[in-house]
Amino acid sequence: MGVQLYGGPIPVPTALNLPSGRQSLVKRLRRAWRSRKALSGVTQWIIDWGLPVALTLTVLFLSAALTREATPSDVYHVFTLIDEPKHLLLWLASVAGWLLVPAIIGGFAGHVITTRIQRTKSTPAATLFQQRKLSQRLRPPGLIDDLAGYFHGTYAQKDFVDAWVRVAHRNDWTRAQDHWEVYVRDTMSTPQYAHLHRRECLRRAQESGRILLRFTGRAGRCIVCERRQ
Amino acid sequence: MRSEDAVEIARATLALALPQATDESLTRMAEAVLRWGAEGVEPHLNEELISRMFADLLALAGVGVGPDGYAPADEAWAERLASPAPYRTWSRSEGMEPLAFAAGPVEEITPPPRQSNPDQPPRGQGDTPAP
Repeated sequence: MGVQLYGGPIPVPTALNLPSGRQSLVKRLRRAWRSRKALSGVTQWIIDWGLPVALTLTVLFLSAALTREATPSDVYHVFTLIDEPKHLLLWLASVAGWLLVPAIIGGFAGHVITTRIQRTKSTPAATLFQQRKLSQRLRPPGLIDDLAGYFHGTYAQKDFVDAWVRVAHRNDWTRAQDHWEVYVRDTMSTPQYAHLHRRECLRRAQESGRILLRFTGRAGRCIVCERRQ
Repeated sequence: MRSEDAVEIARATLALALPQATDESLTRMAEAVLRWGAEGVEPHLNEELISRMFADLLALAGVGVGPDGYAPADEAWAERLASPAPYRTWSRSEGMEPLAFAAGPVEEITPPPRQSNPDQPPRGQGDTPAP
């Protein structure tokens, strides 16, 4: 078969290559990190800021216990603005307390309470008349799909990777997977998906993404490639 | 592009493949795609339904297949667009060809052939017609 030149100077391969195998641990962690955009805003804030704050405080407490300049009780009193700081370690805790305590109490807790109150009279249309069972509530969040699994999947999945990997990315599975994750992540970060349950948010973003990227992929185009040129 | 709106993201993506399309048609296409993504139809698409979906998108865009419109990079694949399914499984928008609606791909929802039941009278003697 002759060389295909549509869609760019690099010829389109005539067949889809096999995927390179299971993603490395780093890439799986990256995919999980990007998938957090399916979570609610509060949960994302806890992951993005709450965990680092908790880690910082833990380091301060442990530092106090190990250096013996102050006891963990002294660190707690300074952090919660009860006592004044007496040396460097406690000054760090005091500054963190001044910044974080009002933010956590006033900002975070206030937002959670306000949102819960507003939701009592404004149910999102996507959840009307639906019943969420306990198993659904406890189900862990999903991850953005690994495209390698599509190679042996349904017809729609195989067609998608043929368009997205072979045509749009010239059989570069790594780049195609990266750009797929970026596209789904950024789609989930929009207001249209803000009020959806995390599984529903991920499902809709991926299905609309596959419809859209299949269409543009067949023309040999990728918006992430274009924006990163 | 205002990245905080999913429709804007979809419009910018579609504009890559359809540089000749108007802003209004890109908006219609983007809204349709986001709606279809919520309807749960994508996992059940087969070859004919994908061709039909592409035909619907091109109808919303008001362009055809070719160098001045939608130009598939793979010529061999482009021939499949000539045989779309005669029905669709997603919602219809203004500008799309009126077609029958099916709950899923026809080969998946076609009921099995009715087996003869000797306890029932033959057809044409007062029994209700099959749905």
